[in-house]
Amino acid sequence: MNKLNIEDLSVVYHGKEKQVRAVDHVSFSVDAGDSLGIIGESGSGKSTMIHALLRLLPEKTGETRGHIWFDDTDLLTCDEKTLRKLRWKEIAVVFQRSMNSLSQIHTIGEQFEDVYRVHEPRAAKAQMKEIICGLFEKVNLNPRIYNMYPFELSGGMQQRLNIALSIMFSPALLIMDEATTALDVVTQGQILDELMEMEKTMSITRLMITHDLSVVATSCKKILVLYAGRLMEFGTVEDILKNPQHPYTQGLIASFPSLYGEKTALKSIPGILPDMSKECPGCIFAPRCPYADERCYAQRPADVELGGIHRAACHRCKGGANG
Amino acid sequence: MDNRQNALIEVEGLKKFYKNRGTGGLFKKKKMVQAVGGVSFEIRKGEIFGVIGESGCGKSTMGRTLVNLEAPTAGDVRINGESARAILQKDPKAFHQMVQMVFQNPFDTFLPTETIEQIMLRPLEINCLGGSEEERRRRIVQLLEDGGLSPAEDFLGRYPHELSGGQLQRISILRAMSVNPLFLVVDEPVSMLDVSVRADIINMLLDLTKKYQTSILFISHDIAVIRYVASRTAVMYLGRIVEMGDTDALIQHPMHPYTQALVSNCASIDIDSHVEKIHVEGEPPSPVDPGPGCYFADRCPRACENCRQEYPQETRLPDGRVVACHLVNEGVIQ
Repeated sequence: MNKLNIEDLSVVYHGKEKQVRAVDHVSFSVDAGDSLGIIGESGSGKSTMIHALLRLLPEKTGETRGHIWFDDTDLLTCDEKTLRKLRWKEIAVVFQRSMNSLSQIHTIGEQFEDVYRVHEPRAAKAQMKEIICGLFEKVNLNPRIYNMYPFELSGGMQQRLNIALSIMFSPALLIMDEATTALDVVTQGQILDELMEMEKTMSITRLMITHDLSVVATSCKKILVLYAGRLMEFGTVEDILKNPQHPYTQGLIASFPSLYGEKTALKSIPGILPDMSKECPGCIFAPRCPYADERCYAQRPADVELGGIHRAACHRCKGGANG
Repeated sequence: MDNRQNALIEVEGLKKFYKNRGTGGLFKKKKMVQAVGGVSFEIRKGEIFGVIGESGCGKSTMGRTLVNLEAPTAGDVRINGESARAILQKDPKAFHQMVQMVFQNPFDTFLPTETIEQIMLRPLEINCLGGSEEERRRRIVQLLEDGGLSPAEDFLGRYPHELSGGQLQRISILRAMSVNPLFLVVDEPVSMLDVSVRADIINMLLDLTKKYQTSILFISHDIAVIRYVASRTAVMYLGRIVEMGDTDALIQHPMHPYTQALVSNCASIDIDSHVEKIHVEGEPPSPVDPGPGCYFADRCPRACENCRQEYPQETRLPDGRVVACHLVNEGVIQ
């Protein structure tokens, strides 16, 4: 059963003079208990996609088309009331610099209680404290910080507090937008472990947005590769890392240093991100692609099924076989 | 010893303390924050030496102290056998020509009101290098072309905000290299850049060291990147080096419990090689008063009584590895 089903999602930002296609006809689905890593460089539209999913985009300038099905609710068309019930309780999100979102003049305990009361107005104080301290432990924080203020903690600890806040109601869908990027290696490793453990016990579906392939490789089951707002490749971690079919994915992996594997020369992808306000009739990666031919510039490639859930948007891929 | 003779940069007992603001009463002695608590190492000619550690471990402060952006509290650096302090006293310009730095954030490195030409010319002007203005201009054009920014004429008139992060970081490196330094400190040069351009910057640094035999201190929190660039690496924890040695050996066979935890928690794109993560509780102690024992003792899964009482001495093992751990000294970890 698909927990989240994104159908043909497009987001267009309307500027004064130009329109930017930040997300361009992206479709994918995630099952309950799944973990999906969304990989892309800056400007690939990964954060925009998440903002669209949570309906956080400004209505005047950000036009969203398509469907986002969360169970049986279309998040793009449902009314505010339904949405408010879903947010945080069913769909929780942690942003990259969310440590800055804590109030510095209220104790951490107060802030956690406030959030808890939004969805559980009649909760008893003692019971709340117990639940909150349990959350602290999950992210490797000492329960004594309950009466402390955020400014007394380091940035990494504050970021962990936000992760604790997001899992307060054991949400069905947890979205982490570069949430562990700023953390130290040891802390990041431990939080990822903790999250994976929680997924097993509470069947949380996790979307993990990051530019760090290694984080996705160690903590997710599926990978979605985005480039300039378009879906390049989608598949399981094994599909993408061991058998990448799209030239962009191949380039991305070749430019990433490995910790244990063979030391091959790192190769970068030449060229720069295209101007996304211009109409692109062909493949958006064509100008940087080493294999691009006429067809790539003229015709937008459809998703080619490569067996299982694996698919790539490239003319060179032929169903099932190496292109 | 052989590597002593080839050593270009020798750092000995380098310390950097800061005054702790606002603690204690009016007449109480102010406590010191120990940012770098005595580090010693050497970097050979043309070698890239990696430094890894978590945030707050003092790796950036160490880098800044080495290029004298911060004056060291104690200890000294010898460049080709000559004390950095002596060179600085004699001729500060000569020191800064020998030692250069590349910073983490290329967007903040440059004055936004200056063109790339002005930015690139400045170090040559200050150090009176490159002859006449026309010759200098030709030299920076050549530098930019060699550094992959061609056609260079296109870049000279542009301002920093018109360039991408990768291009700016190239300029930052080229500017530092334009005075032909002996020693370059690079502090997280690729952490702000996109994955696809990172490789370019890393390869560029590797080429430059090969070409000019510059020694580089490469500071990073990313062990996988360090593995690609550095021949030897030091691991820092709370201002001190806990382990140092050949990079590959260090990653394959870490000896200090902290290094073991660090490497085991590092995410990797090799999905086949699964390493069991070592769980570490808590936070590093305060750098104001880290206590008498090993700084890692409170979090160390293998700490014993001795670890809490005395800071372990650095031991040099036969293969050149240096480890500061009681368990290694006693032969428990091999």
